[in-house]
Amino acid sequence: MASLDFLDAIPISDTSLPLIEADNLVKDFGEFRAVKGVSLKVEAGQILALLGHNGAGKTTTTRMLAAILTPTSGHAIIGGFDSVRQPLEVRKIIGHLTEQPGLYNRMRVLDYLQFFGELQSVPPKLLKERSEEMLKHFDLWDTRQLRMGEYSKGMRQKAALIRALIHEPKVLFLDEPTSAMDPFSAKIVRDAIEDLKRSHRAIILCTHNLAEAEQLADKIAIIRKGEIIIEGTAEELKEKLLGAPHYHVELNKPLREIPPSILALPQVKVLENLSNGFVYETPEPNTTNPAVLKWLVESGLGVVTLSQVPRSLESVYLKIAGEGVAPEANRDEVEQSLLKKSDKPRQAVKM
Amino acid sequence: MSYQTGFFSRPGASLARALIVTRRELRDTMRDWRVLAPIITLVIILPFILASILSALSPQLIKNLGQSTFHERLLPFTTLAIGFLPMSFCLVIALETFVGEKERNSLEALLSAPLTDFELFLGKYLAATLPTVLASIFGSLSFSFIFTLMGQPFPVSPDLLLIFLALNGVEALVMVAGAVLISTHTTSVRAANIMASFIILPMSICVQLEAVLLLNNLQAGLYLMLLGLVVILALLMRSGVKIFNREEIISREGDNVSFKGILRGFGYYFRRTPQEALAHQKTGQRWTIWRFYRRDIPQLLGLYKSAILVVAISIAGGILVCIWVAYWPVVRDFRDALNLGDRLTGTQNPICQSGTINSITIGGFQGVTWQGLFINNTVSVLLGSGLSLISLGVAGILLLIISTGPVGFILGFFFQLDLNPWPLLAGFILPHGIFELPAVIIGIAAALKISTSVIAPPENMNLGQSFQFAIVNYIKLLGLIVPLLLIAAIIEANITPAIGCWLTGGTI
Repeated sequence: MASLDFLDAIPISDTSLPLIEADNLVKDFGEFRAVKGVSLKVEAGQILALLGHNGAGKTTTTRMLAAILTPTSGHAIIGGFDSVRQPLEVRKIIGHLTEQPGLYNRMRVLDYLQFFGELQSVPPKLLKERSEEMLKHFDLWDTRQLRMGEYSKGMRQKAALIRALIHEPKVLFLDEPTSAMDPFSAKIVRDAIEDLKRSHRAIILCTHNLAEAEQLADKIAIIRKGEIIIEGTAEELKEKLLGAPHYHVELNKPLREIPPSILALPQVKVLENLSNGFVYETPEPNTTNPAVLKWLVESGLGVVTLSQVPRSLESVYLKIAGEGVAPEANRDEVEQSLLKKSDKPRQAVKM
Repeated sequence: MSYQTGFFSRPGASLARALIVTRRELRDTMRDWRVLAPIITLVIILPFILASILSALSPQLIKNLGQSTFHERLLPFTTLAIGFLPMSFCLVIALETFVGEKERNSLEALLSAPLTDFELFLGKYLAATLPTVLASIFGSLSFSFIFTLMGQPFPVSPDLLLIFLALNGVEALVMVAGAVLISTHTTSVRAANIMASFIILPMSICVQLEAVLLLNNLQAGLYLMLLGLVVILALLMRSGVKIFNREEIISREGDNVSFKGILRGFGYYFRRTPQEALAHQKTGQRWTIWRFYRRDIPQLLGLYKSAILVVAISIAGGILVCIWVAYWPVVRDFRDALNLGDRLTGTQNPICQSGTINSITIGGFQGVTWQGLFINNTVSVLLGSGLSLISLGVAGILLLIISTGPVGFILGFFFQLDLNPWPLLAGFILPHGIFELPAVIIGIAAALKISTSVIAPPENMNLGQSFQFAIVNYIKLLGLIVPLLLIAAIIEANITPAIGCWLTGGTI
């Protein structure tokens, strides 16, 4: 599948500042505070995944960033424009894929794209060319004569994504971009998102698909009860929540017990003794792993593999959302909880 | 906010963007057979059927009803009615255009587009009204021309046809403006259809009134109706423009009534001073009677000063009009028939020494207790408030004018007869009037604010909050109105007659 190279890359001069910058956004609906002081920053060519339960405040946050809702307090600068004072300018440079594709069922996709293209003041000739290219890219060209009411869920989602891209926005808010898509279509969309990232666009991706978030996002923010409770790269989150990385040593013969000299190595905590190997944790793999390997080789133990135990973002998310932290916990409680958890392995390493 | 609703900075560009929305909506509407079928039926088939029937039966109808009734009443009425029939789907289109889009979840994409709220409103408003207004005009014209083509005279005079087209057009605009208000406060077409009866009922009364005026050949009444509808349209449009904003549309996620939430809202507005409530302060001064009279009431009077001024000016204007009307020949004839001149001028001091006036005035006070006066006045204020609530203040103000109007007539008569009215006013009205009149004015003004709270909510308040706030303010103001009415009643029953007779030289 060809890339989205027909979309112009954002000129590099525009990437000097963060394209999305939110400072302490608060949103009240009557007495209910839906968003409680969200701050975030996304630079050009970066993808921020916003994870959270339904009702956590993801949609309200993106709506404020997209200048659809006015924040009760705080402010957001999108591509250099203030979302409250310059909402029209903001809406000109953003592409917003909403949670529901919300197409006009009686329209054909080309008419639909023409409508939104006209609203975004895309020149007619360019609009026609771009619509055709995008429809071909997303595999909808052959269905252009159908009314969109006849589209499958995945096709609808793709049509909505094309609508969000038709004016080549600098900033994208994508809410569940691959939901209801078959694996092939989902891959096309994921590849497209990576292309958009490469063309220096700033993207906020709201998703429940954690594998997708891990694959695509440069940064991940977990939002809960209107607050971003943790933010960082996938690796940083894993380390914060799940402790130091775990390594699995597989030997070519069974090991009765862990040799004391391994246990004596600094920064190593053996977690599990397996029949033909063991699992250990270390916060300093760069120095520890060669030392472990060296000792094993010198001891005459045949090392088959030494590999990092894969840890998914899902386990991080579930740690916060499910087991580890009470669902009603606020940011402080979550932070305390995280501190307690991250303390444990470090203490173990010291022994 | 200006950036959301601003239109006049670049009207051409704004209109162009609005028309993009209109075009899409119209195309969508014209693809819907549920809309197309009734349009064709009502603007072509029905006029043809009616014209044929009336043309065929015209000799018989002329014979039975008479030439003038047939030509001057029945045919114009049919033309008007045919023009009104397309209104039946005006609401369908409007509700589909506004709330339907919200229900289908396609609105948010549109809200993300670089359109101001007003451009979006205008685009959709035009899309909802154009088919109806055009169908209405086309219906009336097609009936008229088909009837004429059948060898009959044109069924309606040009000036009447013009007013029919205008009336039907404005009615369509009013209905759609009403539909916008409904759509903003509902999340489903079903809920909006239920609420649409609030539009259909008044409009059907309107049409009946038009029919009555037309059948009684009161053409001037039709012009007045048109004027009234234009005023209502202006109010609804103002409200629609203000309420149709992204914030209000997006924030409304459901139609469920939360009694707990409503009670919480009322509790909040009761606890907070008006200024604290307007600033959405979560905490504030503790509620005490002292704070209530020291802060809440003065703040409310300040907040409602425009409404109070409007009511007060209306009363003053009403009294002046009654003074002027007292000079009308027909009223003077009435005055002479009652022999009021002789009664008032028969003695040196007419009020209390003239037997009749004296006995009426004083007799009016005798047997009246302050309790009775208090209950009567309180009920009047509540009744006036209730009427204000449902008529945007008009009925309440009219009621006040009706009850204060006689003062104008009396003043007029006194001026005509070159008598000094001030002892009468100072003696029989002023002592209790200085308490009663402000109480009544404040009451009607507060009720007026309740009805306008849904038309123009304060900044940072949604419609529901604005309505609750206005109701709580009314109840709070009763804390001033009721004591004033109580004092007025006690004075009116016990002190006014004495002062009145003392000033006018009479006896109780």
